[in-house]
Amino acid sequence: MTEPIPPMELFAMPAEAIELDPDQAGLSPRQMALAALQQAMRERQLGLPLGPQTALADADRLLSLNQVALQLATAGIVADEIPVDLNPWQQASTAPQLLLAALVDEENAVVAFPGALTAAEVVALAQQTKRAGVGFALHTEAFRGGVDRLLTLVQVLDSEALPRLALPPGNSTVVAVLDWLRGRLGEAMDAIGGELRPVSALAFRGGAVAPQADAQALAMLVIPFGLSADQLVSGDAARRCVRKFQLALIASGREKPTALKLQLSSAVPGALLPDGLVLVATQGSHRQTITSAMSTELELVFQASDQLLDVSLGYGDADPVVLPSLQLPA
Amino acid sequence: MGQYQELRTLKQSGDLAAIAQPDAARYLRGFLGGEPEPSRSTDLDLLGSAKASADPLPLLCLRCRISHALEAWMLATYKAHHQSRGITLAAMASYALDDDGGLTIRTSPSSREAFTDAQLASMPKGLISPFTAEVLRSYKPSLCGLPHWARLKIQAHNELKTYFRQHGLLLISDWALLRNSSPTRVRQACEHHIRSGDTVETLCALHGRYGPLYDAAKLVHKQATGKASGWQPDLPFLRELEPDEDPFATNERLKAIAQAIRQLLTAQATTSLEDAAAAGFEPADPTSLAIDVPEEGPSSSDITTLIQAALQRAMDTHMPTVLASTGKKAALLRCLWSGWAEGLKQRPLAERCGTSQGTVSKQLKPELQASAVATAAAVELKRHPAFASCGQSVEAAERLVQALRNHLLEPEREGDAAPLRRWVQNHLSQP
Repeated sequence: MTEPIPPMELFAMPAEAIELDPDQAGLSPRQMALAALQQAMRERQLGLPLGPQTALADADRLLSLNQVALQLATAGIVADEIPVDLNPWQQASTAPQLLLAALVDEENAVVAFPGALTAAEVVALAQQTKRAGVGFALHTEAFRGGVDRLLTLVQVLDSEALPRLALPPGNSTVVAVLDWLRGRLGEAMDAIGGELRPVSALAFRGGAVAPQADAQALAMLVIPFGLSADQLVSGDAARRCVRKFQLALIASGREKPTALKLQLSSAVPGALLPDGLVLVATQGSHRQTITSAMSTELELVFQASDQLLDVSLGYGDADPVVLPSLQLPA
Repeated sequence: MGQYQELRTLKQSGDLAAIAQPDAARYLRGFLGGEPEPSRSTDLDLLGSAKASADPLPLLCLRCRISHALEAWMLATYKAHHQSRGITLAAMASYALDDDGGLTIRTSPSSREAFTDAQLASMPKGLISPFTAEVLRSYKPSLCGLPHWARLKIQAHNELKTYFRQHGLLLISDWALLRNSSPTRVRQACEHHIRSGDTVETLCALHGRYGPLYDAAKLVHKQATGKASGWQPDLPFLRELEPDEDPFATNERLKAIAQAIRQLLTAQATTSLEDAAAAGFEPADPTSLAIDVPEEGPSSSDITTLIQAALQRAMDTHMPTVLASTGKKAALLRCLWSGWAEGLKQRPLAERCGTSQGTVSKQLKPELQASAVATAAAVELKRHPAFASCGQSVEAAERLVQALRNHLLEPEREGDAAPLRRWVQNHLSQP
């Protein structure tokens, strides 16, 4: 029998990691990354201008390396994802030309640069990645070339070969729950047949008095579902089904939504749901699943978070209906 | 012989050895009726006795216990990394297994006092010697067991960290590992490597709340101590993280998640090494230097001449400064570059220059210098119409620099020296 491999206490230092002087151990991760970048340039005898000289440590400012606008994103040395601030990417005029990733081990004063991405590469990756609020995370393996790629691109390329690009506005698959309070449903929700209903309808759902109306309900969105030849359908197609039910998304809170209840119930008040409906909701690392079995109602509740809420409804072997990602609050 | 009456220590010969402590054995017979099985309750009993009296013997028993925990950790670490990284047990032990079992402790260069709990408590901040004293002085029984605390302390030992770093290894604390793991990684780790009563959902949710609190607590720690290392979650932190749970249970859950992440990463590292071995090593192709040249442009030989001239100028400008080191390292650097130019690999280079492989890899970076030379040559070449596209296309620029770099490091024909090695040889042979 093979002896099991004991888990790693020590991690191999990434190739070409830069060790800083021990007296730099008190710096912030960004400051350490900048110190490492400067050390990398010294090792290569490069005197490229790096600015803004008086605001290098300001995380809200882009860097300028050899007149190329550069965004610096940092994470821990063993991180698998690097958070990227989306703010500068809202407009082309403020967007960086390059994004440099730095993995910083504060405890050992070691910095590794997995690589740099051009703006075009960032935009392409961002379009495949879900964005939450003002940031999104890129996998560390998306970066390549180490610090040498950065230094090559800023020296060899003409500036116009590194265009500033804004990210396409919003992520079309993300719906802000806060918009529902302003009567805005969102195209993505509209596409699957979602409808905003007055919250007063909660108290008299389908003509029957609901057992517990949500006292702090602020908005309610209802998506009609149905089973057509054992296939899950939504919207108008659902209205034509015999077996009909609905998913209500009820946002509650004092002034803005702080919680969202997902409530799946039959279109006929009090009737049983078809068995085997699977409601799944994921918010960051928090995942809840509930399956109907002689049930009249399925219910999940999530609190507001900076993580997007992903909801799907499945039945049988067919692909589940996936709702647009929900942002709670905006 | 048990863990409370036998001290594991580093002998002058460089070997690890057990030193029996008859005083500790006598104390255990009187206090507990004999050598007990190692346990948390015995540790706490001995700690209680040490605090209640000025007797150094209960602490001696605990020093023995700590030395066993430290030795076990060092042996496991040594076994995992000595072949690939060249770390030695003696070097590791010199940082922590330095307790000789004396009943006094040095309090200044010229004075010693009884090795008691009160004495430890009165000593000024900063690392004290022997290391077992440092472990005991900082130990908070409410947080974890003594052997675990000893392992945490050794993992936070700055000089040992530096030693590991010199050998290309990083000690990453559980707390940093947790903070820098994405929800996806944590879920994967918990699904595959945790066997406990907690659901994966519970553990992932705990991890989700951990990050923001860790950032805030770490900032406070850094402001208070000026150090990024050494942070441990205290009871208020654990209570804030899980208000309705026992903080000790929360601590154990966090450690279990961290352990699962380590297991996941270990498995991934093993798999990727096996994949790399299966795929085989793909050498750089020196013929990749060829670039797209317009049909009516300069001939191939003109292009080659342009490239050779640009590389020569870049090496002439860049490399003399690299090789012109002064000070204590000048002789070492000259030895390393000279050996590299002859084609020596890391191990024989280290032997010839009387240094470690770790130092060789840190001081000698021919690939890095080749990249710098190649980039400088590319900057010159792109001014020529034949290479103008390299200033306008990311792919073309990278391809040119990569090809130039490969050319510098790979011989054109079998038996030849690579251009960068040849340049270094010529330079160092000049008087």
